[in-house]
Amino acid sequence: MRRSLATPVMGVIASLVAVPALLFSAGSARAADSATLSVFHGVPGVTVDVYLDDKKAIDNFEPGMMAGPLSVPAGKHVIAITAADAADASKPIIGPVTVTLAAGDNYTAVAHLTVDGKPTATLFTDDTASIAAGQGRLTVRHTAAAPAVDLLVGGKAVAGFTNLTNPNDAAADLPAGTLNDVAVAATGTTSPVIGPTKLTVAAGANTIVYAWGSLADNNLKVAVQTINGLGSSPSGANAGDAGLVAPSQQSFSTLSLVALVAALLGLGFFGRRLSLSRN
Amino acid sequence: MACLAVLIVVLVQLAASRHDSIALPTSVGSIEPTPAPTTAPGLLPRSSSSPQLGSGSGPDVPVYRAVQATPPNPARPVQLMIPSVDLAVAVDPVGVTPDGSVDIPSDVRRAGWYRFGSVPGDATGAVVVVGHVDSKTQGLGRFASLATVSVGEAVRVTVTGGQTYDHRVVARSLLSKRSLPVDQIFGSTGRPRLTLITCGGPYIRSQGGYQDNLVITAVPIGASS
Repeated sequence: MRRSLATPVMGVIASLVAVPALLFSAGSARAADSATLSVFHGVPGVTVDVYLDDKKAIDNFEPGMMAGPLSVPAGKHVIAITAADAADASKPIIGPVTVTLAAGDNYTAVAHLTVDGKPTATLFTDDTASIAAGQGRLTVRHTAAAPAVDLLVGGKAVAGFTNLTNPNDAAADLPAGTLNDVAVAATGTTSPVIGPTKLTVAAGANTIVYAWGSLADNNLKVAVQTINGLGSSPSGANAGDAGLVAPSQQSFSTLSLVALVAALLGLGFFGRRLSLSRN
Repeated sequence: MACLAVLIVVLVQLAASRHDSIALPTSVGSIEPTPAPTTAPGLLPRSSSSPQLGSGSGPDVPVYRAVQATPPNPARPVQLMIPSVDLAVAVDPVGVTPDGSVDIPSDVRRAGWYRFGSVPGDATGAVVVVGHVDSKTQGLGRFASLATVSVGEAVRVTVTGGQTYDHRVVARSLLSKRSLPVDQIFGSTGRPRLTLITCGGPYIRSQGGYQDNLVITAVPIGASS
């Protein structure tokens, strides 16, 4: 390591310059010309193929499965879902639907049932905004053939997650942790149609929960998708309040100064004596 | 006078060299940009007929059952040792305070592991352990001895279950709290590293007390049981 006064100073300057520069470049990379697309299959009982712009993107896709993330060019795309034995996208069982994907954004296309039990597809935008340190984001999506529902935790409806209807979602940032008693019930009721179950809301992640299937067919289920890497760092560390170690450092500096002065004076006297003795 | 000038220069350089061994974390290459968010659940790629984007020319599309991944490795740090400065301190999991800063055990004889960061053995990111340098009511904290830790010294972290992880100090830095590179210190990306944090620098009561954080960065040198 170079031993010069400039080293630590330059290091500090370099770090001050480098950190924002790297953060900026990371932001730029996200804002490139592509979007991120996942696909969830939430139609019970049927295996499908998924076509993106007339090309087969997912083969033999089964219910309850998630595909992705796919990086796709921003702009318009056509999604078509066919029976698994279809030769091409010409006879879709869902779609074709045209979607417009914005650069840098995350999406999940969901094949699911309407409230009346008919196959359909919905494009959801996944919230990838940064999440405060120690928190996680919970998103709940109603993609089931069922009436409006409430999310219950510990048997009580959770504010912001009530009267959720197909095909909509609700989201909130919560303290990260595991919720032990999570259930879904018809709005205004407390007897679960899904759950109760455990659900972990991981720090720095968007945990996306899908209610899918059909209430009438008695096959309501939950699926979970996780988008990681959204967390923020703590703002700092306040690790002392008494100043007990600062005075010793200051006194060290003071001592250094005293030593310097003493050394200079000593050298001066010594030099003077030397010169006197020479005379 | 020339002698005086030389002496002053030497003294200044000696003073500067006190800080010279304090490499900023930048010098260990731990600054890395936060990557774009990724969908990364427990991937269960199907064994047959891997789905592909386009007609066989595109990349494979990961397909997995959309269930919640099993919780991560529960092993967490329980003790930190730096033999060179006679430091052995118990470690508790900590989170964040309401003001957004990392929480720190109020007992100055204990340290805190930031539980939303990495754990020893993770392939990436910072394992962060914080401790009070002092307290008005309890006096000096165990982490006061971090001030005398030097580059090259060994740091051992013991996790629940008893497994130990050994590290070597690569940097000791006094960083202003006003411009703390928090993503570099706490980030879950970048090379695996151990970050020890306490307070230091000037103490100015009217400006919130300690002005700096003393940050020690160590890198793993292998795990042993």
